[in-house]
Amino acid sequence: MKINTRQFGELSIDDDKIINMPDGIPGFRQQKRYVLLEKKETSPFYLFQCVDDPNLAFVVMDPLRFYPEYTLSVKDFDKTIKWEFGKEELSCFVIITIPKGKPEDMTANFMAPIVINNERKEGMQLILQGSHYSHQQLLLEPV
Amino acid sequence: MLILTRKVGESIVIANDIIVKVVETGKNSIRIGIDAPREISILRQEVFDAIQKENILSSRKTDNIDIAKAAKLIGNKGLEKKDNED
Repeated sequence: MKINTRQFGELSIDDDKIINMPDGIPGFRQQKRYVLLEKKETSPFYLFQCVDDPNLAFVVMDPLRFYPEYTLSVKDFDKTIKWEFGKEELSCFVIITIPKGKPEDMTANFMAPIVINNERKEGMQLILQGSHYSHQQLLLEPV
Repeated sequence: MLILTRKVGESIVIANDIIVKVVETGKNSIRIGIDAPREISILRQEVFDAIQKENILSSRKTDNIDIAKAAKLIGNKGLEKKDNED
């Protein structure tokens, strides 16, 4: 299908690339279909683009780039008991906040990763309550 | 908002399968116990609010130029090891 994106204009995507977020994400409950876009100019970041809203997109990255030990345990998942852990491949991304004109101050939300079940094409934002990870972790050392 | 008075050890039941129990009271706080099905998400409100706020902040039409700059800045930071494995 064709989708419109603010960042990259009109794009053609395979329908099977669409990730359903049944609960949306906090702040955007109504937006439930996303696609992960990868562009050379934004690598190592990806764009987690809402299929139904060109203006809604999140910059995301693999948390292991920053915390090689970053892991989630099955008990972190409350709403996903239908997933067959160990059998289905999961991907995990953290959302990056880039302040306008100040990319050096970017932060990542390690407290609430986006987890995607690649088999089911289903995702959710997990909130790791009580974890020591910050939702506003600076990615670069302050100069 | 519905307001109920409960004594320590007493509970309320919400929608048949969520039980909220007053466990202990202190000077400025109370301890609450909650029994609920696993699929019910229970969060401290300030945690939920912080995540929601951060989501809204991060979705603010980030500039392509800023993304490209940020991508360059992050580069291979912290990934030297992982890159070698690929």
